[in-house]
Amino acid sequence: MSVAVSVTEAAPVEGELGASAAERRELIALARDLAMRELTPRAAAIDSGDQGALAECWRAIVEVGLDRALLDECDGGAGIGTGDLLAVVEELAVGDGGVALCVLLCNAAFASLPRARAAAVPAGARWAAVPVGWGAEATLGEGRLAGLSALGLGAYDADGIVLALPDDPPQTQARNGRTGASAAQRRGSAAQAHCAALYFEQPSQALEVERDEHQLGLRGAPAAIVRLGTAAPADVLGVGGGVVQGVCLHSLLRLGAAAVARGIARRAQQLALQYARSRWQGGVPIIEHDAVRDMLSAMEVRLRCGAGAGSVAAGSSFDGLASDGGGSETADREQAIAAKIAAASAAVATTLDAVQVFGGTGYMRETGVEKLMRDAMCCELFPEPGWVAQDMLVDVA
Amino acid sequence: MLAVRQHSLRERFPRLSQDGDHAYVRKLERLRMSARRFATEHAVPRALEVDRLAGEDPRFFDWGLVRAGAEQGLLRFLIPSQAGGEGGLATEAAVVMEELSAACPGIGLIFGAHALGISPLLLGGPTHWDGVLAELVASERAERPALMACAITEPEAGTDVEDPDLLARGRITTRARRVPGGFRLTGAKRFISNGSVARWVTMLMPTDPRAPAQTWTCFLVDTQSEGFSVATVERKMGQRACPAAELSLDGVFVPDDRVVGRVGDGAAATMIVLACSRPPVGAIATGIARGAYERLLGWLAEDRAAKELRERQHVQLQLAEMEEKIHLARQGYMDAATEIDRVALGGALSAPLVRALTRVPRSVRRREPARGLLASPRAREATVTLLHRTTSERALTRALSLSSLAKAHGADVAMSVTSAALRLVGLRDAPVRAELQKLWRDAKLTQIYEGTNQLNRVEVYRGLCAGETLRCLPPLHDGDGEAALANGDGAITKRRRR
Repeated sequence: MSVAVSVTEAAPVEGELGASAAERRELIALARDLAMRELTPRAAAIDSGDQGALAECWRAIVEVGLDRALLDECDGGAGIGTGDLLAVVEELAVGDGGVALCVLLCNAAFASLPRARAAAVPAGARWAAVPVGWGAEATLGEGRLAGLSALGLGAYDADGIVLALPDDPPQTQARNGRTGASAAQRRGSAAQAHCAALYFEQPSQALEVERDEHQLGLRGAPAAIVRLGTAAPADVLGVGGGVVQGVCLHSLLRLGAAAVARGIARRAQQLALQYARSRWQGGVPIIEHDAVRDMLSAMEVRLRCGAGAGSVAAGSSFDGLASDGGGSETADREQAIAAKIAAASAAVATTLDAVQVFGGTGYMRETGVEKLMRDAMCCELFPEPGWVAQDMLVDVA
Repeated sequence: MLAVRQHSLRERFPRLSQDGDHAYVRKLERLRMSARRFATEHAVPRALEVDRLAGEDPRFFDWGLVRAGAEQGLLRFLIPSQAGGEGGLATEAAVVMEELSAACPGIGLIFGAHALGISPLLLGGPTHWDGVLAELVASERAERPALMACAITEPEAGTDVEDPDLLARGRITTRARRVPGGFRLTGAKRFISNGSVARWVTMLMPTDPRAPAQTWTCFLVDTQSEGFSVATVERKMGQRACPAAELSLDGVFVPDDRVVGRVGDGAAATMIVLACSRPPVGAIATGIARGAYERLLGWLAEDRAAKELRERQHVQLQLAEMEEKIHLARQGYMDAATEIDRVALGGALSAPLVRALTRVPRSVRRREPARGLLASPRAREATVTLLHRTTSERALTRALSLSSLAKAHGADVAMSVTSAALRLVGLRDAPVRAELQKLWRDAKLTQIYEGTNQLNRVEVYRGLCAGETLRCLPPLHDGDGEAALANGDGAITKRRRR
């Protein structure tokens, strides 16, 4: 007896301002090939902290120009749209979620830099955008941001870091105990009031970076605690001026997290299906047992309907906003938040089920399924946990 | 103001206040306090470091923790008093396991897997009181504690070996071959907790692979025997302090007097062992949830950055839901443990024959002819007869179902509470995040070991929803068990009763 479900793949969506469907299909094929060839074989090594394996993967990413794909061609990029980038990130996440997140963070960082600055970044450099959102602490002295601390995925060993200041409404911030950060934006100098992103070439005396020794997952994007110096003067801080700023940067990161989550969920479903067909218990393949079929069918439903299926489309509509700075930032933000919540919670549920389908084997590191579970949970917590994001939705609604 | 309070046993289990057996309640509280002392002084301070070291090298094992646990009696709570232990059963094991797992489930599992290894010996009758169990107590007193393990799972058979119906159709690759004076064991066992560090392993396998359910038999294996080796130690996501190993057997000789119970009784014995061991697994899961909840409370109470979160109704409701889930999970495992200890097996423990045996001094039991008599086939038959007279398959099926319910529910609570706690803390630069992440990784295993939650719910359906009665008792034979097996008397089938 065969099972009715099949492995779900990303459906190319033609964005209004993005690449054509044919171009996007080409991009997806390129990313899929890259994921299979370079990322999947190294995923376990990267998860174990093998910096050499991570460097190999990054070299392959840079070779095809995916590290700065969002930048215009005249600035050394590939000039692709946000929707295209998200489709690529999802495909890469099937190979390794952490590396895929690195690609997203690097593109987000470059896209938020002033164009000339971004164009001047040496080839192969890896930057990371760090959302200073929920959970970060900041206080403000007159004209100075000080004591800001945040956990940044991909920030460890990065050549540059872009801090994206909070985008949640002041009432949400106040409820979550981040009055300092919102005050920083409200009471800061004129430049600070507008600046939603600050950039630091690393190493920088103004920004202390300390490796996070307890990173749960997505280890392809090595995490670090980043702390602004106790009295970092504003005039040494770069002020973002690129194509993606402020609210848009946070939305891009949320949509990217949704794409990563979806790629992770797809990989978990692929592995679970393969295993369910090959593992026998009770004299039949376990795919014949209803207990397993229930989990496999739930995975399919989540992937088709819930797991950020709309994130690429959302990214396509986001292109207009990102390129001209116009449009409705709030509507865009709502869509990004919703896509991220749906994708991350679906990925967590799918990966938990995948480990359960594997049983004891799935709990062991050699199968790579438990890694997906840890990666998915990180997606749920990045850039803020789902319950905080939901809270923001109510405030902006 | 939020605060982490330590509750007494009576506060945790209100029904114990009505229990007239004050000595029993005092004994449970004493055991819990011993476990708590070990947890506070040794498990909590070492948990993250041991997890990290075992993550880097799965063969890492901290014998210092075992020695410290032995000092608190954590290796002998299941050993009968006749052999120098505490004489506990499922309830004692569960109370200890919750306390240890709230500190570190991996460290707790070292002692839980040891207790699981002992369990089949308790069913095997008094033969082993003065053998390996007494030896375990003696080595502990000599400050050279030894561990046990129980090996059921095989590379091709996980769920299969925990259910007699599936076992009959399973891909069993191990085999015990009859040789003069005993058996030779061949094959591999996988995911065996404590497997790489155990001195003794109780191991189940068929004597005839063509009829695994009918010939499933428990053996006591000396890990220093020729042909025994540790093939691999697994790299686990969590509960790393306790190693899980693949054991390889290449013609390992086991003498007749180390066959546990009778040949062919293994499937029924597995059912009873699982009925006894699943409440403690429910307790491990409850302990994990409690550990996450208490750490979260501590963080919310003490961390400056969490100050405003305490005032959020969302957070308050989450905390209330955690408290609710933990309380109900705890009552679930206590229900199951009480059912197995006092109802299903209570009659056997208080039977006149057993009481009389407890009064026979050890020095007499160890001398011939008493020793030979206790190890004889007749004594094994008498144990089975006693079980038939003092309990029933219906009572054992109900206990197994309640145990499965407690295990599956507790495991889901552990996942739910650790996930919720992790989401409340998020990606904060706070030490509590590392502890919660670890507990979340640890929690997932409780949904898998001791039978997946799905298999456990099948047992709940059979025993409680459908009212089936499973054959949990070894069959009564007149004379030699192996001969009866040859005549086809030992078939394991399920019987439906309404």
